[in-house]
Amino acid sequence: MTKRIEVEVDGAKAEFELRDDLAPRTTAALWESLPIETTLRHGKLSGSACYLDVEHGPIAGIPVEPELPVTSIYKGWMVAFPAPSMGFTELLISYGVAEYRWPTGRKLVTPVAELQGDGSALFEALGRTHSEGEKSVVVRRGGE
Amino acid sequence: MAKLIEITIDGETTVARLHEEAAPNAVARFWEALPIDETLRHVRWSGMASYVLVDSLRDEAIPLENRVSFYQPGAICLRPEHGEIAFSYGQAQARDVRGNHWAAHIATVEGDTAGYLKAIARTKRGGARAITIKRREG
Repeated sequence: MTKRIEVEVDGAKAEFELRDDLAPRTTAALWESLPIETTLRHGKLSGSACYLDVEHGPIAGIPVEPELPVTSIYKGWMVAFPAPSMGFTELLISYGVAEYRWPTGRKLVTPVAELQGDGSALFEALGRTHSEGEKSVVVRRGGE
Repeated sequence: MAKLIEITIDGETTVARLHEEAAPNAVARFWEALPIDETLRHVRWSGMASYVLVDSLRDEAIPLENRVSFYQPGAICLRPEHGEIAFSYGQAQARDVRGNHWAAHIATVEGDTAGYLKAIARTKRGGARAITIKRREG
């Protein structure tokens, strides 16, 4: 059965479906790492996307090689970028046009979850980090 | 005499020198646009920089003089296609969703820049803040 996760930012909640059909190992590692409570920041290179660094749980130690390499981060998608040498995995959520980039160019990420239902409140909260600065974020298990 | 501007962010004022010789037309348009009272926001594509949008500088007829793509810390650069003035505090480049671009390097901050660079960087985690840019008289 499809696993769902809930993302909460600034009081706005939205449900995402884990895409274990695309990335079974990465989504399993994320599921086993929940709940995650940390700081959400706006990206500075990748467009309309926010990120959180996860330093604990199986998701923090996933292999550096992307399970399903993509660079686009479509609106309403969560992707994972493992950085084991730095001791964390970065999760990004897009609220508009976004592409994963570093100063050296595009990087590959793995899509892990897709928004289900109305994401407008969450998108607004994500967008507000651009003007209002960082916010708390919770990623927890939703319905199965 | 060289044209100077004062930039105030978070109560801290820094002086920058305009590059009149290298970018005479772009600098002249910028000078005409002063004073600027705007909201400074962190960039979303360009790296370690913040920006303001100025309607009167949105004009593709403004030439890309003193042309750069990468911004050095302390550089102040104009992208006329959308009237963006970028203030770099680290590794940064004129970029957007389409890729890498060019900008006119119109000014560079002078003197002790540490507080200024930190004030620019604070927009990343702390959010937008007011910025004032005006001519330095005398």
